[in-house]
Amino acid sequence: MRGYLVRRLLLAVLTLFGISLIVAGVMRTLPGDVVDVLAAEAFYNDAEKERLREELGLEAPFLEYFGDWLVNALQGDFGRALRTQRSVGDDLVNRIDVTLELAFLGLIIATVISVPLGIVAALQRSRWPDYAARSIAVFALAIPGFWLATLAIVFGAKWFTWSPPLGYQAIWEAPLTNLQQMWLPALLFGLILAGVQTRILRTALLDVLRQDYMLTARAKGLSRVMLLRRHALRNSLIPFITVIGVQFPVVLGGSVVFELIFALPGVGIYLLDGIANRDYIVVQAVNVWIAGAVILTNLIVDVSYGFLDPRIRVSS
Amino acid sequence: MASSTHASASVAEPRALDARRVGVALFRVVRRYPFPCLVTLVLFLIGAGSGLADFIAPYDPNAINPADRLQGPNSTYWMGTDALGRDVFTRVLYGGRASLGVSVTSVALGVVVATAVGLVSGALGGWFDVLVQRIVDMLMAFPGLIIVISLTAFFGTSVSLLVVVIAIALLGGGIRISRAAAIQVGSQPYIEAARTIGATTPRIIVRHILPNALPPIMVIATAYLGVAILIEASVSFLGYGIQPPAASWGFMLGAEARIHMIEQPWLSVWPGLAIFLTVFSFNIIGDALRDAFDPRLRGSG
Repeated sequence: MRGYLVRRLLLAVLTLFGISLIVAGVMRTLPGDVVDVLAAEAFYNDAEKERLREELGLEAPFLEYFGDWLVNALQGDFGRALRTQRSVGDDLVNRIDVTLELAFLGLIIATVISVPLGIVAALQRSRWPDYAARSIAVFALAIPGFWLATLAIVFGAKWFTWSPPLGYQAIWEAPLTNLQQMWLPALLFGLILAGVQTRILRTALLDVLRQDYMLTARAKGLSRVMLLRRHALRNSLIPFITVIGVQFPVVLGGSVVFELIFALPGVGIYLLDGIANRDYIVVQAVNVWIAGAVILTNLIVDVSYGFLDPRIRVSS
Repeated sequence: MASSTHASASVAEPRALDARRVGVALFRVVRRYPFPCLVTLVLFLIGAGSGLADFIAPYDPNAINPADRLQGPNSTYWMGTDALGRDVFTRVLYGGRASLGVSVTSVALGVVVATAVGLVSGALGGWFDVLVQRIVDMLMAFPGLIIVISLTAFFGTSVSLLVVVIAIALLGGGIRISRAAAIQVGSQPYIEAARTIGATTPRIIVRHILPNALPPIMVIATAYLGVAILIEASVSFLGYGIQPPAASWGFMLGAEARIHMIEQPWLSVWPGLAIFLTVFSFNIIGDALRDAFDPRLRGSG
């Protein structure tokens, strides 16, 4: 287990390093001189342009530029946003809670929806509850999140004269206002994420239900409820947890759209603003952060296998 | 003369028989799997309408006609008109051409590259496999939508770039699936037999592993068509995909449709419905394909 943990950790660090290198490389190969674009918009003179170029490290060879960026990033300094001159690291810390709250609430709601649906679908296989659950799941897969969110916000205002309170409030400042703002995006997000989760849980459960040990357990007289609780659900937990890990990037990507429509000042909006301002320092930092969050989640998922499944603990 | 007539008749006869056989087989498939067949028909209609937009569309997609702006669905404008008086039905057709064109091309590109890399990686093993797995780890760490908007925003919003970038976003998962398939097929005794009689590795990959690894790859490709439609729509919705005035389903649902959503809901309903039906169909067909390829899984997932 120790060796396995160390190996996974090293791989995660290596992957994050590779990602930083690629992202920095892509940003450096941007077509056109980013300084020229910025200078044209801010009416810089040549001396100011030189200073900006120097400051951004664009004169230095790529490896030197990347080395500096990496050393600073490891100390939590991701540079300053070109437009606002604010620290990108600080901005991200201030915004990450919005995105994470949305992501976690969405995943929790998705789990609350998908676990009963998945269980019913697997136990009632090929009967109407199964078809109903599967239809709901495919519906959820196929509805574009931004469409659902727009419909909800517009028709919420029209039919229920309800709209989320304006001006985002953090959960520790004004929990009630925060939840009033968050419940609808989280619910819609959860509905959409529930699609994949229901399908995976159903497949995983069906897989377990087919196993010989289920027949043995039934033969020795275990009740159906015990069978489900003690054997089926526990054994289908691994693929289910894996899905949450695999879905995490989808969650972070989808969050961009929900943040935009519900005006939640999260990392997604920060990325969109950075893109609109052609601020490659912001875009670079957000991409590395998001990739880091995904890698961390997958690491946690991998490690949790060891706790959930004694077989994995022993074999590694 | 007589013999040639006889020959043509004998050629024609089995052909007619074949047509009948095909008809009977088709009827059986439709009776056995009515829902996937219905969905395929819907998808075919959407595809044909989009592909033949030039011939079917009643109006010019970009013709501005302020006098007729914001009309509800009626006999002249079947799906109504938008704020510039453009026919929504026409724009849904052309939007479908853009959306389907981008997603089909990007999935084709992504899946072909992913299959080649994944199969070679799974079949060869060794350092190449380790390298590929690390690259896949990196690719999988980026959410598809984030890669696409980050790259299109900086490298320009051309359609060909959009196709390449969506293909890149699909690459990680595709490589993972095809690599797993190659490893599974590679452990079969017939691969060992082929190796024993002296088949070279490239020959084994192309002649033995590829055909046997194809089913899971086709299933994932079908599912990816839906994913690509959703990515393209989201990116166009955000304004970094297909650029106006060209029609695309995602952009039609953007800012303008939101302004008019309460009074003119058809502006949001038709393109949204088109996206939904297309993605829904691809998912149902993907499930049906998987059931057909792997009867053990029938009805699962």
